[in-house]
Amino acid sequence: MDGWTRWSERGDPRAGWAAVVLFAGAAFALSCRLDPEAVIGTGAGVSGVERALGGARSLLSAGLYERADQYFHKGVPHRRRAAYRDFFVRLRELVSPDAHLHAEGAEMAEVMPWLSLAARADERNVEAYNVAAYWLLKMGDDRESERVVAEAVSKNPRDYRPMVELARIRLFRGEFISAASAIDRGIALWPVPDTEESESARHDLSWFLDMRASLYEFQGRGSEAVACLRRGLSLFPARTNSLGRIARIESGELDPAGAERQLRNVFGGGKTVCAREEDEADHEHEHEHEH
Amino acid sequence: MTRPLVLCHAVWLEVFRRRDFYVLLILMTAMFAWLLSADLFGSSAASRYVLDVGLLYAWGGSLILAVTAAARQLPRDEEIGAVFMMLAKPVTRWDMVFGKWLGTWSVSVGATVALYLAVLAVSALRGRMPDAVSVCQALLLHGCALGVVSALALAISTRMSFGAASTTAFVLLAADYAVVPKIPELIGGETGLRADLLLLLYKGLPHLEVFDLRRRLIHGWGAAPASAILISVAYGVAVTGALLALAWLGYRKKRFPRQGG
Repeated sequence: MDGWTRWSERGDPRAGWAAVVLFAGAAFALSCRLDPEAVIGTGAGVSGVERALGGARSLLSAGLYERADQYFHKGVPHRRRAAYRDFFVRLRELVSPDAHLHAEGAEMAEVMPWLSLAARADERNVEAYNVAAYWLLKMGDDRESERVVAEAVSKNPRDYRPMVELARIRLFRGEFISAASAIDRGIALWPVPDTEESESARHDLSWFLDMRASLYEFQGRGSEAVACLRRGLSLFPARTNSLGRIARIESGELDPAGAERQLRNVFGGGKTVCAREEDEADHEHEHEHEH
Repeated sequence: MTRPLVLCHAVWLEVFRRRDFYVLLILMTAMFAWLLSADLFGSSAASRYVLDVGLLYAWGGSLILAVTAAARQLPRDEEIGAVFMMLAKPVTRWDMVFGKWLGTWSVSVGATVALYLAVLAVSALRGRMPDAVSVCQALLLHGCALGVVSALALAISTRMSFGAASTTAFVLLAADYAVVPKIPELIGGETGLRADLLLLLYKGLPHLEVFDLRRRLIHGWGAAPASAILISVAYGVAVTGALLALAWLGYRKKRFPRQGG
């Protein structure tokens, strides 16, 4: 029998080493595919089985969420800048276009299946629920959006984040009293453990406080509105535009009509800035510094 | 040319007898049944995900079929002694290699066409049909990728058993799919031995990413430029030819001792 065939068929130790090298290669290949930023549940109240399987679920969910992001970008994955562009990179770009475009209007419905699968894969992936609820609302389907938020709340009753979208839905419908209760609940649950320092958690609290201040102003309760604005200012001291509003309210000039306009503007001007745009802006900024 | 065609026909008969393809179709039907019945945040308007998952399945299924069919041809003939019968006839070693490759490649292309038809039919039921030119381009390049993969598995199987050859081919494919297209980005942060290893992978493994037109089909980017398709096809033919030459070199002087002799 031929030597190569013999060692691969019988118990030659070289076959074992070859298998080890091959599996190491496979593990390396897999590690390059998985998202290293996936959150793995390790907090209190997590069972042993959840600890063992939770990592895999989080990774799967993060992968599906990433797929949703790709759909938002018309199938183009988030890539780091290539160190070089050779024949194969140029040919791949011709075969698979990679322009930075966003799905718009009805196209956003195409993102939903991936967000749904991401949420099913890991029920603690509140981000997937929230993004789905936000876009469903933006497409005008407030009923389905509310159903998604209700599911997020039932799976994550101690998480403040679904309250952001619940409040947005209520504001969208003009149901200001129930929006206020969702915001109060969100503020009471804030923060999720270990996220106090995160930028997005502070942005969420700031949004709650801003909306609550407007609700108070709409109701003619100036002192409570000022307290919310001051707390929001302590989160982001550089946002000095709140100072003028505080001064106006403290001088007794309440503006319920202006507050209502702000409450009804639930999508904040409508411009959606994606993380890739921020990355690209950062890169251009770095580039300017290099020159 | 007749002898390779006879061998090719024998591969088709063997694949149908083993019923691999039916398993692929049954799994695909089950997958579509689940996808179409799942409640996905009320997304009745969404259809791309069906096309996406279906095409991913078509790629995965056809690659598995190509690797397993190609990797078992030569070792199985040696194992059951059929190789002696064939080589006793006026069949050269090149005829054997080329005929087996032609058989496994054409079988996997046939399966791919059937899987594409099933995927497109389900997608059309959901109200989405990609343009015909993009579909033809995608099938053409998919066929090129299958040619490369079949030739790779066949070349490895000339010097290994079926199990070792198919495992090696799958590991190389995993690296090909997961690592090779990302190397131009990954290498920026690497130096020394790791950078050399990544470059070795990049230069040494076939670039299957230049055959993947799924993004155009799924997200409606339209047909690719004809020049890009021609270059990709030429690259596929060149790599397949090189791998078949390697397979022939590995097989032409191989000895086949009789089992139990």
